[in-house]
Amino acid sequence: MSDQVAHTDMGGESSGYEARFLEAYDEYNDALFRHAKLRISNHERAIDLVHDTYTKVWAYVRQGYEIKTFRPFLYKVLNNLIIDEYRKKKNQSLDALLEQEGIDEGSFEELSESSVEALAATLDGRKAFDLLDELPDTYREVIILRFVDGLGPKEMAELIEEKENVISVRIHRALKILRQKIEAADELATEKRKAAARKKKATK
Amino acid sequence: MKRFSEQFHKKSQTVKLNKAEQADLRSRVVSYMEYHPLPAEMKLTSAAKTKKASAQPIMREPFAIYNVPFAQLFKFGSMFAFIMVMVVPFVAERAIPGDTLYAVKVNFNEEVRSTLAWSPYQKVEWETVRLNRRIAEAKLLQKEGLLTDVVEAEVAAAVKYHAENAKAEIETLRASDADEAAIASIELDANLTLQAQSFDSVLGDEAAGSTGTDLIADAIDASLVKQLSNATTSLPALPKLIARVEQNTTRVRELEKTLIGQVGSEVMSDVTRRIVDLERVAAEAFNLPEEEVKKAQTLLVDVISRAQTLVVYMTELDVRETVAINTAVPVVLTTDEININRTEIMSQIDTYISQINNSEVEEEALLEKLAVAAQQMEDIKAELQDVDVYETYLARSADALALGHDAVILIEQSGVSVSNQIPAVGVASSTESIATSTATSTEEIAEPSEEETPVMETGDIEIVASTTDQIIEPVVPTSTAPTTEEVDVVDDISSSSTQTQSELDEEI
Repeated sequence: MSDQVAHTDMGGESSGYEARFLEAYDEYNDALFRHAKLRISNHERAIDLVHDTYTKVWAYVRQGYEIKTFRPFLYKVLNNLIIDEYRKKKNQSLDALLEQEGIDEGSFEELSESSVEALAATLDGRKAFDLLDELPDTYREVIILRFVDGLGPKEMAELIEEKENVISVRIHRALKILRQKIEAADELATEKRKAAARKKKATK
Repeated sequence: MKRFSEQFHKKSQTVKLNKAEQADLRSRVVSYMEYHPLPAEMKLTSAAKTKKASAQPIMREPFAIYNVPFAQLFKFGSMFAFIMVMVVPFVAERAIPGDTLYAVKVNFNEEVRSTLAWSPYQKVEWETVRLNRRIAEAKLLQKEGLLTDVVEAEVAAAVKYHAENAKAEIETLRASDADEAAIASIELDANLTLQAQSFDSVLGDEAAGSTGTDLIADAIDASLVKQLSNATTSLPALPKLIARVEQNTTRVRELEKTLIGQVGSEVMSDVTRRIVDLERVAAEAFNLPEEEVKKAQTLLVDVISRAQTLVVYMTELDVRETVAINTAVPVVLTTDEININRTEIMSQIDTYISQINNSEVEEEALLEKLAVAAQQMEDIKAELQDVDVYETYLARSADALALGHDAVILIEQSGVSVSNQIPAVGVASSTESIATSTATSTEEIAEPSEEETPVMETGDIEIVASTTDQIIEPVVPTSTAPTTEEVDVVDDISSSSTQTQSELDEEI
């Protein structure tokens, strides 16, 4: 069955639940894949996680639960799958990792949205994106949700099951880390350029 | 920050699935959905919501799939079924021929009820009820002037059909239980007889030339004649009869309770009197010695027949309105009542003899006639002393009374006044009381006050004649319908009185 036929069959003759579900698939599958890919940095595994996300949601629908808004539900399921994925990879749990990282309540500066904006204004988005893999998942998660998926603090808090303040602190710290990494990368690049110039000069 | 967000977001958009991967992923998800379809009930409810989507199915597969809204169909089907099964039959029960729902009443309600009658006996009973229903409907239509020729023919056909059905069931029953079949036959006979009487009464009330109910009456009569000709001559076994009598008397007692408050006190007392009669005759039959089994059986058959007639009389309003209870179920006189009647008849004869003997007639020829008449009356009177059978007593006494009556007329015609020294007789009032009251009133009848005794004057001859008729009138055969023998007896009485008078004239 080709994609076109499958699409028509399920969308045209299917029941309301099926039609709505496929609509949600078409709308969010790309964003979910992007989210998963950026979180776990594995293309094939990200596809599998998106597939698993949709099959789990479909199973939920089949049980008779009514899903009024698919987007947060899909993100919630995917997030749980990603956490499971981390648990499989790492010997220690994510909670233990979080405890080690010592997430505190944060300073007033970190809690301020304007300070986040001010901090972000100093950063190059393209460079930050390239360095995303170097962030711990806790920070990478909030950066992706905020700047890739476009979720607001409240939605993120509900998804991650944390307070909005914690989310703000994490974003602030993530940006700080990114700035440091960008600066470090810039410095490294400057040094490399200088070294290359010196080498060129010496060669001459 | 906006610049950072834009840059970051723009860069992130480069991460995406290629076309092949997208198609593959979608195919996997759709396959999963197909292998894990929604439960049927969810499909139904969602189909209702997405009516628009399913309204235009696209035929892309060899077999098209159509969603049938079973839930809604079931819901509306249930409501429809409830209306059809419960409401319509209930309303249809009041339908009469010509109504829209009449077909439901006859072809659904009654047929369903027929299936509930398991035994052939119950089937006979039910067919009898159906027959009564058809007749009641016809009477109702006739009352309202709606009995057209077509409807009349239909009702007549239905009467025949139900009567035939009942007979067929009786024949079926006869194969397995002849006694039950005989009892069922008796009851059907009683029912048909009463309905025939009722229709005769209706026809009597009809204006001359009206053909209404003729067909129906003919159908009833035809069924009755057939029924009587088919009736078995052998009597049912005594135990079966006793059991049926017990059932029937219990039933009439129950029906009597339901009549309280619905009918007048006079009708109630009449019904009660008949029930008392039934119970008394049944008790007499039960107490008969073993040697008189045949008599007991005959009595109980009569009780069953009368009980069935009484049941129909009590349950069918139209029958109550058209047939007098004394016609439907005549009173069975008690021994005391019979004795009182006999005494009164004897007093009447004595009165006539006294009037003849005390007359001051001087004409020789007339004196001879009167002497012969008085002698014959004395002979009959002596003969009556030895007659035990009440019906025979009545027949013979009627001869004597007719002679006396004629003699008094002759005396009157000769211009001689009839002696007023007449023995005390309280005929009219007492007879009437006997006919309609229960046994308790018999005691009152047995002690007539001499002070209240009417003094019969010469001009009272006609009164004597009429009171004599009243004496005879209530004394009717015990069966519900006059049998051929009974009709003959009545004819004999009238013919004998006529012959007696003519013979007397000849002798004179």
